[in-house]
Amino acid sequence: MSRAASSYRDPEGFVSIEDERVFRYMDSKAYKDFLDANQEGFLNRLVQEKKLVPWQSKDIQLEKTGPYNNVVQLHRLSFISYPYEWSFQALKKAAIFHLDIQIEGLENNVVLSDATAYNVQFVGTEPIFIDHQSFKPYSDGEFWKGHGQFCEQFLNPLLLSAEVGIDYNGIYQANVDGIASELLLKVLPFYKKLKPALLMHLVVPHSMSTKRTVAKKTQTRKFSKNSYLALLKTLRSTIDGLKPKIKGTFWSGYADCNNYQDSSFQEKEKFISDFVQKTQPPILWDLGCNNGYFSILAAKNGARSVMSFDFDLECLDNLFLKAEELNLNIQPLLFNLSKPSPNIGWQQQERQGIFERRNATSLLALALIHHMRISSNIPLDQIVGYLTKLAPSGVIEFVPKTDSKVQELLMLREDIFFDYEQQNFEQLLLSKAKIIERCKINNSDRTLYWYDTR
Amino acid sequence: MKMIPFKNYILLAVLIVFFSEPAEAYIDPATGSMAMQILLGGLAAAYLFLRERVNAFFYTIKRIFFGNKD
Repeated sequence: MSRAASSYRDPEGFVSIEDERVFRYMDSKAYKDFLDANQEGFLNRLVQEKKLVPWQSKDIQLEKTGPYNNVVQLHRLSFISYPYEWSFQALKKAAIFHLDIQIEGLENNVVLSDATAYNVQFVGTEPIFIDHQSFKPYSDGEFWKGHGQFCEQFLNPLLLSAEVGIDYNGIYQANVDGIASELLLKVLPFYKKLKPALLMHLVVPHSMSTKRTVAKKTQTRKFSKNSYLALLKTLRSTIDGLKPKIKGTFWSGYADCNNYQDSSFQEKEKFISDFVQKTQPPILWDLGCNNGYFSILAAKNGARSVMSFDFDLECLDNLFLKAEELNLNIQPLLFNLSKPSPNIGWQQQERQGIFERRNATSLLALALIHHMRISSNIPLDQIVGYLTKLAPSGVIEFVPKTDSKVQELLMLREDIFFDYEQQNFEQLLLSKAKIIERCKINNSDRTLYWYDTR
Repeated sequence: MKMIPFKNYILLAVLIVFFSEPAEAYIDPATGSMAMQILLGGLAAAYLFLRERVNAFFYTIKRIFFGNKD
């Protein structure tokens, strides 16, 4: 039995991963709560609506340990992402999804014992809940226990972005548990703190957090179900109204003026379509996806799921909305290749780095490596080594120094990138993989390489 | 539940914003959340109730003037 590193907080049970299969161990109390929460079939309905990961409890031949004598097997998701890798639209959707589960749950006398954003995952752009042990039967008069955690992990990051215009991702990642109200209050303009929703969920809870006498009252006072529901519903409508501050980043307008003539662009499209059609990748990683044009092309040409990575959050947000609109299995995620998500949290194992979570069967690295080499100063052999380790096959585009985009990068700096030559790139790639096909794009200096390491 | 009059609510809001103390790190942040629910829990319910009433009122007015089209 190998207990998942992130599953240590709740003494009533834990998640374990064995031979690529996921199990949840529960003690008698947790299991009774789980069954009680499903008495009216609420959890089954969530599974049918694809809002909760399916589970089954038949034919499990596992050694039961100590008090954890109840085990269910969970459907395994192919990738676990973290809220600090989600752009605004994804976090907002996850927050509304979480509140909807709570509202529907409370109407069915079921509550969630906590409100961690890590319990929400995505399949494409659709959120799904993964923690079966969080569901508890509602006790008359109980308070919303997860309110503080919900604010730190969902509301505060969204407010930081919507009300102040600061991206939450870096701070969220560093703190792991979200954005503290104290930090948000320090950067919020005074007049914004007077908004009723912010007073209610941010200012008042924060100012009361040291009032022990008030805290003691919670032991004797009851909270009506009506108020509990109203709290959830008004918070839902507050979050529904939040919008990211429009910035118009450099990268969000970059692809519109990229360096291809129409016929050359069609040639590039054809090469990528052929690659996807011939390989039918179960999981394709599109690195530096920008506006996601090629992610969408891949998803439409047979890639079963596409993970689209970029460091520009506005590009990711636009792609999230586009993939939602087109109903494509694309998940946009934040990934800065020179500063990837690290191993972090308890024992540095609680949340894994992006490389540790790699699951791509193929990748696309289009118009990317010149930025890695010249903007991020990463030596070419390391770039080729890393990309070929990320996925066993893929397409890498080589953009030579004669290209005007590279010229722009070199304009104000000395050319110290002696290894950045096409011949050297080919040799390095051949030392790691076979080159299945290459395509020199007409009317351009660029070349596409289809590699395979197997 | 006793309602707080609107002008008092604004006064309370301004006082809270001005005189918030920094939280002590060793106290569970849930303490403040619980206190908020005791103090203001009824407000959300009252707000939803009023909103429903106001919507119903405008719906009736609309029906009187424009007929029942939906």
